Amino acid sequence: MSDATIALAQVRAEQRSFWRNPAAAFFGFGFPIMFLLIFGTIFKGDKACIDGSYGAQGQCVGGALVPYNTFFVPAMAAWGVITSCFVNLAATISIRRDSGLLKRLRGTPLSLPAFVVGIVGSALIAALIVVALTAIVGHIFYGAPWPVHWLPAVASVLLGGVVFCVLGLLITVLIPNADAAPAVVNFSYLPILFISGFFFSFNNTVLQDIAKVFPVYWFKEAMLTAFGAKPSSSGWNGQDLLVLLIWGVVGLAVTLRFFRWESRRV
Amino acid sequence: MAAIVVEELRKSYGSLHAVRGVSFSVEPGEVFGLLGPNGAGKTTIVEILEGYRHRDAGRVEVLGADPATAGRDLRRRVGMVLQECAVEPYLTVREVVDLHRGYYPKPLPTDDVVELVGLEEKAGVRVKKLSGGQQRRLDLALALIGDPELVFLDEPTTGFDPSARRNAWEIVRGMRKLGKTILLTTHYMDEAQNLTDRVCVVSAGEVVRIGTPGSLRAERAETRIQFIRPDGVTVPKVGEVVPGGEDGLIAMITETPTKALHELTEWAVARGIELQRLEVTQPSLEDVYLELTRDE
Repeated sequence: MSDATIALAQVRAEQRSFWRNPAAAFFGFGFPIMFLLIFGTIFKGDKACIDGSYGAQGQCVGGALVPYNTFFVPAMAAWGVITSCFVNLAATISIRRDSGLLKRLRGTPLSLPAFVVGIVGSALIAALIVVALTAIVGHIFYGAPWPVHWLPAVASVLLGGVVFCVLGLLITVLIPNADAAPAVVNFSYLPILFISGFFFSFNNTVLQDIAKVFPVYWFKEAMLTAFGAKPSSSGWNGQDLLVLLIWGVVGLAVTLRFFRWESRRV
Repeated sequence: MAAIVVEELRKSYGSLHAVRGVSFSVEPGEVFGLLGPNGAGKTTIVEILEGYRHRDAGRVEVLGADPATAGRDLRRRVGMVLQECAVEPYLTVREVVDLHRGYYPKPLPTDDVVELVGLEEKAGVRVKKLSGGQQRRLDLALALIGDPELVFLDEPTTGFDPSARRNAWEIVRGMRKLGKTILLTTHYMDEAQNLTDRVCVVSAGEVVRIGTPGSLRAERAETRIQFIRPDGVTVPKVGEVVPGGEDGLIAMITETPTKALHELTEWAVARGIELQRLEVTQPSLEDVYLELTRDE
């Protein structure tokens, strides 16, 4: 079999494993959809201030007011991509490293690119599905508009997905064993999720500046832009995608240098 | 040309010298046993041969290549059963074997291999649901699916019940008949005795002895004679008396068993005594092994 055929078989096997594993499927899909339902209901009819800050009387200064769910649906879609790629990969790879599965694969002629295409390809499929699901639920239940700019939306999901897959592999370097994976992973990104304004916009330039260091913020921005939550945009924002790309390239270099195939002996 | 050559192999982990100048070679078609207590360096040696670890010094050749640099070409010709190596738990036995089948240029048919390891009834079952012994047999199937020339079996039957072990032995014998070269590590001397053509005993990172199981056993010339001590008589001392192991059992070892046995039975027959549970045994490989690897 050629490497391309093997890579396809890997994607298929990874997809099977993913859907048969209730925990993986739940964390990838359950959280973003659940929060969409909760917050979508609570804040239905409210407005969100995009690209601006709230003034003394609560008015939106320097930005645009849009219906809350117009903002919230793409934000939850972005979170879905992060769970499907970053969280999912960090967890499964740490478990496989601990159980010796990675070590076994290294002893076979399976090429590294085919293996990586398998896990990343499968994660991207999950990411596309969760984004579609979020858009559908948001549209049907909360009247959020369909994504306005299709091509930028798909491109952002794919680029963001690959970058968060790379970062998911990278974070395994910091995960001592599979038991610690949920703690390390959640600690590494959930606070950033909040200060990046995934749930509501807020007025604190220090926290916002911190958020802007991380790819989570820029990915959310790219998704908001592509979904049309930012009224005056063509759907593309070069800066968002560039920051993501830089995180991906640097992350890949660090991962290639420090990735561990075997658990540390204790 | 030898299938495996190891010359003056050395490997340290920090201040721990795990392998200290080990040399041996394995011929094509041979079943070669690597024996030694825990921490003797067996797994380090095997993992260097498998390409997982890098040696500090010495020469290593596996099927004519250096495993440290050979890469995929070598891995296509080698099968491995590692000590701890999980399989994707949510795939079925057949799915996993099929997936691995795709990695090799000239694999065996999936059904044949699944049947060879006795998992045909579990082919549609998810790996997660297999027992420990069944998972180990799946390991064996994955090592064989690529039709390898050389197979590494690192403690392949640890945790097996006696009948599962016998089955695994049959599989190994079958592989040997197919002309595969096999390097096997084990704790079980009966396994080494039954399966291997030659064994290499390592202890504290050094080779203590290399030879056929028979030649190792022959190193201890003494034969053991034991029987239940008859009541009310003094038994003639026909050899060196050693602990009998259980109450009422008397044991002697001798280098001249024919003479000793003759004296003993002549004495007993003359008095009309039947020696209960009379046994004459050669030292087992285990006896020799324990002596060779005793803590220095």
